Formats: sequence, C-alpha cells, structure tokens
Amino acid sequence: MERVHSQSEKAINELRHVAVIIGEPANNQRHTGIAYRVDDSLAFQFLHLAWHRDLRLQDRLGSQYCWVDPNVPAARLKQVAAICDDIARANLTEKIPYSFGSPISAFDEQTTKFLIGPTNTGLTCASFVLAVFERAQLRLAHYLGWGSPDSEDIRWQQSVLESLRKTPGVSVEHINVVEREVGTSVRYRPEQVAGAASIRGRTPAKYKYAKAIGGDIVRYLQGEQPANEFRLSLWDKLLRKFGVS
Amino acid sequence: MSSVALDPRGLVVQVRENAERAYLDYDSNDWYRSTARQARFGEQSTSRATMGLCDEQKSSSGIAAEQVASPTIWNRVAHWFRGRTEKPLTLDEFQSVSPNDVQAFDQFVTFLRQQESCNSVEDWNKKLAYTDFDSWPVKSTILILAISCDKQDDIPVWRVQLNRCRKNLQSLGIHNNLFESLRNQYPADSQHSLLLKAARMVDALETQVATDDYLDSAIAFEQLNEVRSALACVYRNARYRLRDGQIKELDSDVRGFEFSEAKVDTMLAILTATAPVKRNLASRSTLYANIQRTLKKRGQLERGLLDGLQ
Repeated sequence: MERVHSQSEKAINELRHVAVIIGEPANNQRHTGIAYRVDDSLAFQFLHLAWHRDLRLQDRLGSQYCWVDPNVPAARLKQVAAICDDIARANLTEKIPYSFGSPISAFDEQTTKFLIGPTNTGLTCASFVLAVFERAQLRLAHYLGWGSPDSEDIRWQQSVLESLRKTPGVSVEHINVVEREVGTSVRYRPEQVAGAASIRGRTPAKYKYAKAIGGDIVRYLQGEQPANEFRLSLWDKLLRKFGVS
Repeated sequence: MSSVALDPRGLVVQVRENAERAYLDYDSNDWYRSTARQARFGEQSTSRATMGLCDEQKSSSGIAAEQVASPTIWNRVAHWFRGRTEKPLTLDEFQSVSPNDVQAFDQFVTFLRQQESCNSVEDWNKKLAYTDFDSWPVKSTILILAISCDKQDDIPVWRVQLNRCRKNLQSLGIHNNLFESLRNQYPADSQHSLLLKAARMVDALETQVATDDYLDSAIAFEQLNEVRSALACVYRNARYRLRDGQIKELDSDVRGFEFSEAKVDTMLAILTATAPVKRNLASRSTLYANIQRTLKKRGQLERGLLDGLQ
C-alpha cells in the first residue's frame, strides 16, 4: 500500500508522469482512470472511460479519488503519458464503446483508435487502463490467471447491460454483444487494476496478488484499516528479481 | 547556366537528363546514413535558404549541402520554365507547402521573390495583415516569417505575425517559446535559418503523413526540453508510416536513428512505437542492442527500463 496515496496525504501534482486513479464515486461502485503529464512543467490531465462512448479528458480530479504510483521506471511512465496523449487525440471524437471486451490489442497500431474486433467489443474503465499500459508494452496483469466472474461480478455486468439498454443511442447490435458477454467475460475490477499497477515491478502482476492488494485498496477507500494480505511468495520474489514472468 | 541558351524543347530534354543523372549520382539514403544528424539537420535547412533566398551566401558546411541541393537545382529550372507558361500563383496556394518538400519550397521562394520585386513594403504589410493565416498550417506561417525576416524592420506587421505564430504553436502543445529556445541552442545561426529549423520541426508534428526526418525533429525537440513534442513526433509519425504501409521506410528510420545524440526519452519512444511490428523491422534488434549499450555507458540503464521492448 506504500504506492497508494490519498490526495490529502500526497498531492496528485507529485505524480511521476502517470498515476492510476481509483475512487468510489457511488456506494460500492469504484471507478478508475489515468492521470498523466508528459512534462513536469505541465498540468496533469485525467483520462478515463466514463461510460459508453464517453472517453473524458479532464484537468481536475475530485478530492475523493486516490492515486497509485505505478511501480515502473519514470522514463517508461513518460512513454505511457505520451501514449495517453495520443489515445486521447485519436479517441475523443470517435468514441470507445463500453463492454467487457479484452484489453489486448484494443487500439489500432496504425491510428491508435479503438479497434473493434471479435474480442475487442469495448472496454470498461478498468480494462481501458489495462489497454493503455498494454499499448506501452507494460502489461500490468497476467490475464490468463484472472478469475472467472463471481456472482457479484455477474450482478454488476447485468446492471451495466440494463444501463446500456436505457442509454439513448446504443445500438441493438452492441446490446446483443454485451448480453453475450455477461457471465462469460472476465471482469477486471478497478481496485484490482490499481493494485496491479502498484505491485507490477518488472513483470505483470498475478491475479491473486492484484486481488489481495485490491481488497486493501477498497478498505482504504472506505476508511477502514488495510488487512495487508499481500505477500509475495519466495518463488515470485525470485522471478521478479530477474524480470521473468 | 548554359542550358538556358537552348530552345525550350532542348532545355526540357536536358533538364530531364540532368535530373536523372543527379538522381543516379545522389543516393539520399546514403547521404542520410553517412552524415551526422546535427550536420544533416543544419545542412538541409541551410541549403534551402541558400538556394532560394540568398544565392550569394553558400553554405559553409560544404559538400553535403551541395549534394542535397543538386537534385533540386534541375527541378528549379524545370519549375522556372513551367512558370513561364502557367498562370501566376497566389499566396494562398502555398498554404500546404512543406519545409521538407524542397521542390515546393523552392517554388514558394521563387514566387515570393517575384512578389517582392513587384510589390512595395506596403503591399507586403497588406498581405500579412489581410491574409487569414489562422486557417494556414503553423509551419507555413513560420515559413512566411522566414522569407520576410530580413525585411522585418520595414514590415510592422511582421511582429504581429511572429506573435500569431507563437500562439499557434501553443495550440500544437508547444508551450515554451520555440524561437527563443532555438536561438539559445544555436546562437551562431541566423534568424532565417532558425525559423526554417522551427518550420521543419513543426512540420513533423503537424503534417498528417510521416515526414522524412521526423526523428531528427524529435531529437531537436528533446534537446530544447520539449519532451512532449519530441515524443508526439515519434509516436505520430511511426503511426503514419504503419497506416500508409511504409514498413520499409520505418525500418530505414530505425536504421538511421542517431541513438548517440538522442536522450533516453526519444530512445524509448522509438522502441515503444515500433514494438508492435518488431517482427517486420530487420534493423530494430540492432537498434535495441545499441540503445542498451549506450544507456549502460551513460549510466542510465535503470533496472527494468527496457523490459518488454526487446
């Protein structure tokens, strides 16, 4: 938890080019995004996927949001910031759909626009963060070991589907795609993504560690004492030391 | 030039022959690889200035500048010949002129010189005051400044144009004073040459297709501490290369990248931008090794810095 900061404890302006933002804007509903600035002399920008076709770039951040300093060298974070700039430029007008698609190869190599494909149906706020780091060749988490959606995840996916149905302008095709994904697609929770960023090191974080630190982040956001369940096994410590995943 | 004594048909034939010979003698890629980046950057700008604006002032840097100029001399003659028969061009037609397109730039310069000879300073003032430069690309407005900088004291609107350019540069994300920074970086260069450099750097950021020397521009931005622009230059232009199917050209960019002059940010940017297509870029593995060695030598090879970029 040493890389997770509330804004009262450490101002967001102290970020090293990139910070993963995590907050709980509504009861038991977390949201994540990326605050970035390529140049330290500039003000930070907050890039986040707020909802269906609603990628936002804001220069302000609510005080309830906490930020995570990713465990990555600053020079690499500067590249992530430049990529955020590029993605914002390419996708603010042609918007990103909201669904539970994969964060792998989410952006077109040629245009940086979101690339709709068989597995790239859309992103959530959390998978958007994963996709941006993915684009910078810094995979935050091991996707293969990620847990299948549990009952809480499925409930959340259904509530997203209902909200999409009520949102004007969402196509029937997109609703059908999301419907098929409910209960079958992995859910990357915002707190787990933020947790993965804080512990990444030289290799992507494993699900069990992201889950443990994610639980602590939720407790931290809710003003509770973190359980400090995150412990790397000796084997994983060794692998991290040599940068082997 | 002896060829002007020929009849028009003979002139065209000779121009074609000479252009072909110049093209065969001159391999721009060879020159690109064999000339240092700094020299390349300076010489291209200087040669353009020398050709178009002040024929009497030849580039002091010698052979390389002549080599760059040679294929375009014949183009200039061809344009001069064509210009006799075509309708006169207007200022607006040069909105899209690129400082990297030597041919178009020459035409631009020739046109402005003709304008200059038949127009008074007052006319120039009117042109600068009443042309809607806000709809022009920023690089072209900088070129206008470069062309007219020797007359700036006589053209009151010149300063207004300079301030307009500064404002437009901010809209491109360049917040520091680019002209000032360039003057500090290259104190020996003339204002004209610095403005041309600025136009070429901005061109690499602004043009929606990859420019030939965007990596040089990125390094120049980086040296001026304009890291955001430097990285944008690399990412955008690499993307344009991929979009336009220019894999060979991208590989050539990677091969010609002056890693010894670049700082860590541009190095990482070129590796990151090309990582998705690394299998198609034969020169990338060599560049990776060179960058790794250079960073190690400079003591900047932080643990995990190059992870995922090999």
